[in-house]
Amino acid sequence: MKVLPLDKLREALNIMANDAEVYVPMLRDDISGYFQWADNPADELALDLLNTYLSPKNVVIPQTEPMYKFKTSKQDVEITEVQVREGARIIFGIKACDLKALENLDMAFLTMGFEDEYYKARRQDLTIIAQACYKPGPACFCEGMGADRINPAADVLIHELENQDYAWEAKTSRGEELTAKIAALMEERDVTLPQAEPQSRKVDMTGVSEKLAEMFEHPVWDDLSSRCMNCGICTYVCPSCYCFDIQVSNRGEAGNRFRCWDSCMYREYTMMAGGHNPRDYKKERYRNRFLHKLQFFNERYGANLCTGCGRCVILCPNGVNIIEVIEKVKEVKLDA
Amino acid sequence: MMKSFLQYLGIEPERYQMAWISGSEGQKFADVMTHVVDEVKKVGPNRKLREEHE
Amino acid sequence: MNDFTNKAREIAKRLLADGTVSVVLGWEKGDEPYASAPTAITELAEVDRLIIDEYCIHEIAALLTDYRDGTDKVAIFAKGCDVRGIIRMIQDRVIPRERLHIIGINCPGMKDPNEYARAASGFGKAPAAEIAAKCQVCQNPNPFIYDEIIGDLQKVEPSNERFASVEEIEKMTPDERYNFFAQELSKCIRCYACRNACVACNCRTCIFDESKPQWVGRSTDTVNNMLYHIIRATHVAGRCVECGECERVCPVGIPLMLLNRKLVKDVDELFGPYQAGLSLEDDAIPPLSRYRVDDPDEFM
Repeated sequence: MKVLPLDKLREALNIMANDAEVYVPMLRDDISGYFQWADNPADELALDLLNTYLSPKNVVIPQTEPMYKFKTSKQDVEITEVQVREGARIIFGIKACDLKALENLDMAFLTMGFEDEYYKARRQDLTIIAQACYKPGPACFCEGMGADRINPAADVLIHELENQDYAWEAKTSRGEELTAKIAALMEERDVTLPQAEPQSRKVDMTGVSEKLAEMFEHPVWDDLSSRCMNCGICTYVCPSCYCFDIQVSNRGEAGNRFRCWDSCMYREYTMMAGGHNPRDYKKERYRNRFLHKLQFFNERYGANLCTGCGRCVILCPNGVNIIEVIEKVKEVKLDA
Repeated sequence: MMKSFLQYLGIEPERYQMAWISGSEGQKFADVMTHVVDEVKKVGPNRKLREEHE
Repeated sequence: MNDFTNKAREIAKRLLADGTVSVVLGWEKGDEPYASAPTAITELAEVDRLIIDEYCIHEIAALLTDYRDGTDKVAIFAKGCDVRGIIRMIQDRVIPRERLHIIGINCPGMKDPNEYARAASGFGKAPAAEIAAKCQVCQNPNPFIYDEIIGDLQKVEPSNERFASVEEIEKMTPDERYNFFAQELSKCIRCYACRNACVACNCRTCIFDESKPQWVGRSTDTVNNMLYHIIRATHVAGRCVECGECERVCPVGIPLMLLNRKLVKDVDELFGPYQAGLSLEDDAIPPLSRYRVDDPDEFM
């Protein structure tokens, strides 16, 4: 099998970065995320981490993304520049959970008769180098959400070997093309792939979506939501939360329109022009988050909008835990 | 409070000035404005806390 | 602290059974040894979920905003820092003292469950501290306003270090200070956890949720992030009870207490001596919430 030695990795990333934006797990202070390679000299390569606190969704939906510029004159508005960002992008080392989340984003932005051109521009030339995940962490439950953590579908699949070199398998023609560019750095070697360790958190999603459909008014939401403080951490670190808001910033006659992440945890999210808010209290906002993840998305796209990466479980300051929510929902007895 | 806080964040104090001017104090208003403009000119163009709009 | 849990359950059962209160705010256990989380118990049958252990670090008084519109009585388990938070809520007219039944906990210092979750996660490299940093310098571990109390009085190591880090920043040049804060605040992802965890951020409608006018842009760039944090910090000036929750809950590790403590220090120097959340007496309301003829008036 082809092997990319660890000491050749930086060189490989540099070559890839010649004609593409390359996103790699890195540490910025103590915050890990998929940052652009060679963007900030202070970033530290962090491939030894299990995963990153900030999800890789910024590659296809940046938190703030310019859309177009405009100029007004009297009654007229002229769009001066449409800022669709096409171009080659590479994501290196993405895990199965986040890759499955990317599939969710594809469904939301590209299917059912709607195509988001800003998303499509960033997504269409994206080469995915996924890393097989042999040692899951205490918060991981991707298997329960249906991810294949050893063999995720990607352009290239890499396996970290015992000596930290990477076994390299090109899976698609796009993956072959990329591999050809860095072929000189690779060695051909017999390798033993690591043994996969089991995932300790289990979750069985059978019937959850259908049951939730009967539970909109159930009092369990009061109890479950009592600990939540309605910040947006869970939605912003989530690899598959994709809600955004379209905003504008003006200076005189010129302005920029941009979109930025939004969160169903915020009061402003559902605030209507007339001042009415259909989700005025935290219970309603909390319930919406879980129903969207586990019921509504299922009904529309046939998948859960949670892929078991565990970020919200790790980072929620008040201990909201989606697995506990699922278990509580299963315990609830519905009246016949 | 605000002035001290902005200084703490590295904003030049000359850029943030406060004065109490009554509606009848036209001359004071003019003097204060001239003073503000002079002070701000001395520190030059602001590059801090500023969105880049091209 | 083992018997704290039993005592807490006894007290909660009594209060719910005899109708003194209709809800009890405390903590319950999640599915990891470190995962303690705030909770609201309303049913007698659920009281045995309550626990008190060394991971109950959350500023539980922040949850009182959920009960502002009722008339029912609320029981709340409160460490020293939580009592300061409760005073904040009472003085800000979120909830009157008469609606609260405060069960004080003399607090030996807590571990931060988030630090432990992160350390175990494999997503970062920072280790978890035996006692959370903010608890190591705590000057108010013992509740001083309560209806009943659990645990023995804790000794306090007097410390005058709370402004040391602010003074370090003050020694820098203006450009160094600006660059330092611009760098730190550029990391902000605008999750507003610092606001929602804060006992002083108890407005019904937050300025950052308003859209007509929109006071701060929603884009995550350094400037709008800085404006958000400047406004947030000044809105709690003189009312911040220094619980340090904003800094603890921040998912990207912004040292927010450097902003809050500067304002605490200035309020103390200009209008003080004053510390927020130490007394319910009339003369203890925050200096920026009242007028006195001898207030400084440098530009009048």
